[in-house]
Amino acid sequence: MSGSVRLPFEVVFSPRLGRVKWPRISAMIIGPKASLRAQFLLDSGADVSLIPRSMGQDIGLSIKGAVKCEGRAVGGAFVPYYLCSVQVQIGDLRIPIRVGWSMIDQTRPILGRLDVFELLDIDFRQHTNVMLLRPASNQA
Amino acid sequence: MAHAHTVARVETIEEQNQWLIDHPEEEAKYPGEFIAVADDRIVAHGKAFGKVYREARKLGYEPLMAFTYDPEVETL
Repeated sequence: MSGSVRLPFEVVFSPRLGRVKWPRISAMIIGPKASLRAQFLLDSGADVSLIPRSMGQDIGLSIKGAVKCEGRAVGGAFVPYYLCSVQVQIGDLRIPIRVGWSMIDQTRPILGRLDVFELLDIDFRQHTNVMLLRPASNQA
Repeated sequence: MAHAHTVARVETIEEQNQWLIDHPEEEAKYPGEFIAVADDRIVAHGKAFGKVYREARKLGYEPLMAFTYDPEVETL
């Protein structure tokens, strides 16, 4: 893991809110058998990262030995998932993380706090339209 | 007899992402859906990740999979 990565927010338009800056980033998710390119919402409010069912299947995840869990989405719906280990590459930064492998294929990929926010220092500089990701340091 | 082959260059994830950033009007056509981006366009779209990804792969692409903003439903 080296360097830092600067990424822009995605700017989208809501008829009620106007311009919305969305923290959506591109990453490579690397599983035991394959890798896949996808966009993830960088979500500091989520306890754990989440990927849809078929994404886990396509990168070769297995439920064998995985811990079965259930989480509650912001809207209140329960999401069954298995906790699995993968790697994620964002620019030059490659980190091992645990993800919730959702058993629902409509689940949107998100990068939550577990492991991701421990291994990376992440600055949301929305005013200047930049997210800055770098290896975590012990500096306050 | 020699055959001329055109081998499509595999785009980088950064190039695919930049195309998305540069063309918000394209992804706005599919609010709240998964889209597969490759070859400077959206090559597949739909509500289920796997169906969209496999359709793009069947067409021979290594796509960047993205989900689109739905302006009718804010993320809370």
